[in-house]
Amino acid sequence: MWDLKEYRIAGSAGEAVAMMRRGPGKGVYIAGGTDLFLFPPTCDYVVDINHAGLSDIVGSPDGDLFIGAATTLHDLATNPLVNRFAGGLLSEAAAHCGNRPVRSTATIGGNLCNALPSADLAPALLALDAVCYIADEDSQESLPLEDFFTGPRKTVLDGRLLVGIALSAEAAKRRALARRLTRSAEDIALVQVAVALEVIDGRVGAVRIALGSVAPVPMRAMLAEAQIEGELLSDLTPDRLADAGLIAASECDPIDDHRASAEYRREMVGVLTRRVLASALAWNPSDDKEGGAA
Amino acid sequence: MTEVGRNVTKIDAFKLARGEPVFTDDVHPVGMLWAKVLGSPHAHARIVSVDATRALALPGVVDVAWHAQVKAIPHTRAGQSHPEPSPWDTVIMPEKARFIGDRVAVVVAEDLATAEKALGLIDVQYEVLPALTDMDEAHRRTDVLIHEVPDPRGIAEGGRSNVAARIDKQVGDVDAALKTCDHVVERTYWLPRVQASHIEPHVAISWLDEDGRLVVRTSTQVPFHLRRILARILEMKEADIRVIKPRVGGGFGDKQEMVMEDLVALMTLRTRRPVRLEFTRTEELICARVRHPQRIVMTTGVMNDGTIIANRMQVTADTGAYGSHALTVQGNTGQKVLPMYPCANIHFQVTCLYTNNPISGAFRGYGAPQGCFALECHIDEVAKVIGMDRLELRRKNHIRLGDTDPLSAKLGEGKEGLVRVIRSTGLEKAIELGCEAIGWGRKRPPSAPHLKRGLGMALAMQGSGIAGVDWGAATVKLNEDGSVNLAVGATDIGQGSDTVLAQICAQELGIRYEDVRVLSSDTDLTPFDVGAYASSTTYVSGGAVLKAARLVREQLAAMAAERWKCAVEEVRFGAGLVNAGPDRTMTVAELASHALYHVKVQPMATASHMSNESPPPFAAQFADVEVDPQTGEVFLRRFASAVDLGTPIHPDLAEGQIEGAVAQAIGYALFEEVIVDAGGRVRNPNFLDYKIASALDMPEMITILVPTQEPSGPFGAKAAGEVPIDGPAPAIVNAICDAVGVRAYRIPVTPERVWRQIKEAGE
Repeated sequence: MWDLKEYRIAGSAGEAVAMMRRGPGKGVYIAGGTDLFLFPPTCDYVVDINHAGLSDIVGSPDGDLFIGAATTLHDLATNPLVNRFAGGLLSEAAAHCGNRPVRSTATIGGNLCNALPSADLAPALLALDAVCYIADEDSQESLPLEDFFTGPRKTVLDGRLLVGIALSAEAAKRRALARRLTRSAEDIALVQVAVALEVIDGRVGAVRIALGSVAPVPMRAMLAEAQIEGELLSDLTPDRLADAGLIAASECDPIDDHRASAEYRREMVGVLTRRVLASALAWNPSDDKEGGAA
Repeated sequence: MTEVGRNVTKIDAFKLARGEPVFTDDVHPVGMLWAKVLGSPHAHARIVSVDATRALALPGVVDVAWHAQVKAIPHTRAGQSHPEPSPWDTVIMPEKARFIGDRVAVVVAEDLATAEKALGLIDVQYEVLPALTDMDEAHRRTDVLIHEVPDPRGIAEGGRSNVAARIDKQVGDVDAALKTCDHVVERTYWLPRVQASHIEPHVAISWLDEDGRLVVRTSTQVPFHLRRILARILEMKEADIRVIKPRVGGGFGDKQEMVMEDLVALMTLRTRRPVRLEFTRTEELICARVRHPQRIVMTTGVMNDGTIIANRMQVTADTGAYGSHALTVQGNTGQKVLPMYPCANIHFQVTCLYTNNPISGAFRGYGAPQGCFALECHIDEVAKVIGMDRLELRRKNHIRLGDTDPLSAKLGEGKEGLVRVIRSTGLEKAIELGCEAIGWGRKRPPSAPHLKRGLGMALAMQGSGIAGVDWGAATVKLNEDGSVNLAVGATDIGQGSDTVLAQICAQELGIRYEDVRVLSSDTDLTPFDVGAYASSTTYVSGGAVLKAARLVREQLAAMAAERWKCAVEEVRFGAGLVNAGPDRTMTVAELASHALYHVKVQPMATASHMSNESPPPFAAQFADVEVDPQTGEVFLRRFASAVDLGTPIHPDLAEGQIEGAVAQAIGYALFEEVIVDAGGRVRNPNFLDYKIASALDMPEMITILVPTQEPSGPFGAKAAGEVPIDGPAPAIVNAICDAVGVRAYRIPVTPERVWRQIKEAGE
């Protein structure tokens, strides 16, 4: 049971951090609260950031995208800018989180700041080179999402506030697809694979292969990426893709638990990486929705 | 027929939709205390001492009770008819904890937070004992006894072993017959521990009324059994206890058990104040009841032409810490299942063991889902061995109209039962319609090249109440405006029995359903009923309503005949009218008013009904699945159920029963399992980790009612509640086998299990 002494509502990011730092005792940020209420932490106060102006999705004229940390998953799933960005990879990821009531409340910031290895949005965001914007009382810094997670349920934040996520226009053109494996439809993912890549004149440019639920933190399979990057499409035979899958499998570090064994998770990283790569490479840019189930 | 067979508005639909305060926890008496139970942290431990000094010193804590302060009167919490077939192996507060979560102490405080905090301030000393969490080990070990009382009533081998119940019944001679068969097929099947997961948890509130009588308002399926058990263990008169069942948010058998009512009653009697206890979801998954895990060995002797000569089913089951339904659930595993394929030689054996695991008990299907899984998978295996079509093999052997069921006579409900003769069956029609709906023999192509597609089927039968045991009573009272108050002990737990019983009443009296009001159930105000279990309410309690309504109709007919000076036989009822020829007509309201103000008689009757038969409803169920052999994922695309439940009194509610059962069984087949580790600890006691099926997991569902006329049922009705939960698991597993060629002998078939089996088959 919560033994809350105070509920603080912040009007801006700076004020939120100030409220957090003020004490006394321990505080936590709250946005949607869906993860927070599952296992309520011991804390003396919460700082509500829903009125801190962090709920907007803004597109720049050059095609960059900024997503406020308090944006709900439902907004992500349905926003036209996000739908169009890299084939709607992030919208798809959001649309598969939990169920509709959860998506109407849960936020992108909450999903990332809880830092579960299985965070549903993390692989898609990693594949799109997402950058985190973090506010302190009177300063702000940015860092790549890869550097944001430091362990299960651990981030670099230390009392600071994640204010939003930026995606660069460069990533918008990538062929991007993802796949998650669960037991039932509303389950925590056993394995997640997201792939984003660009193809220029028959040759693969930048490649991102991101994995979830198979390591202490959401991660990129960089050795597997290196197998594909710069290759001619025509050279990427099914065997080569299978090899990339096996390499990704060797890069991850899954655990055994009652949901699945480490062995199974690792094997599935191989299978799904191969499949998602194959679909992304075969992707016809005019058909954004192709290949999602493969 | 006008009222029966009509999809009337469910009688409680509007108040539920409006969110009226109709459930147990919606109304809190003034001065109510909040209870919490301290559960044992050990799977098996003697409770050496309990010191509640620190807890009682916490402001707001009112009382703490543990075994030293509570009289130990052995009983069972199973919630069955007297005499109870479950062992009396339970007391309110045990001296020895037998599973993690077993009752050690109960606290009541002015608020919930204080009660929770107080749990941590109770000092308990335990003498930890070896924990037996594997049923085979529990069987072998006689040096560690979970129940060591020399002769507790009803334990099979009380004080000598950990066997809670045994059954060994044979018709014919299976060993001899197997020697004469062309093929003998033996396989072993494993069934998991699953929880009913009703939306409303167990919750009970008790208080003393102005006469000092104990009132218990609770989410139960069995108010009258509860009153009887409470009276005995609290040493009170039944008349001094009132059990009220308000609306209930699902029970599925889990609320047949007295899971907590004795605790609130105890604390109310100790403190003289209202007490409320509600389980959290975690407590539900640890301390309520689960479906018995079983291992089933099937041995079938069959001839080349598919004639089944002999069938043997050997069940080993885990009843957990207490023997709730230990004998009868396991009995049902054979009794409700083996008669599907009658043959001259049937052997049914059960060994049900105590372990230090969570308590197994009643759960919709009551043993039949386990047995049906084993038998219906096995039939596919037998078909494969003899090279016969699996539909053909079923059609050749399944039970038919007029067949008798010799196993029922041998088994009964814990004692010799009654011979069962099939007097109505729509099974053949159900098979035909189900095959047509799913496209049997015309498998669809996979939806993607990496998927494999398969079809599977299963047949199922259940019962309609417990023959010769279950009974209920109803009171019908006619008011002066022609409306009716119907009081029944039968318990509507969400399934819609109040609606169905009102329809039966209206039909018999020739009035409109909308003119019937139902009161259910309150031990002060309604007559007895065993309660909502064993698929009994429509068939058994409906029979009582029909009789009571008929008695009132006879009273009315006599008054009309008297007034019209005609013979009673001439009086007819229907469409709200009473008549005896063209110029002698009046409304039921006019006649009722005549009765009350002229004759000065209350038209009213109470009737009781029991059936010596338990006619089986039948189901033929079909699954269309796709399997991804590389990931092991199973995609259930379509599911068809064709069900003979006699006359559907309310077709929409009947379909709802079927689809709800299928939904629950999909979880059983694909992902539900309460995982208990070797130390007896539940690893997944929350809905994040214990997955039940949601709307997103549902396939295209095709549900077909196959009406028949059951001569012994009210308006030809049989039962709907349980039979459709039996077939989905084997149908799905048979379909997976059809798709990828490997058979799962164990459910749930999680992606990893399917993947591993395919991988091992390939090696």
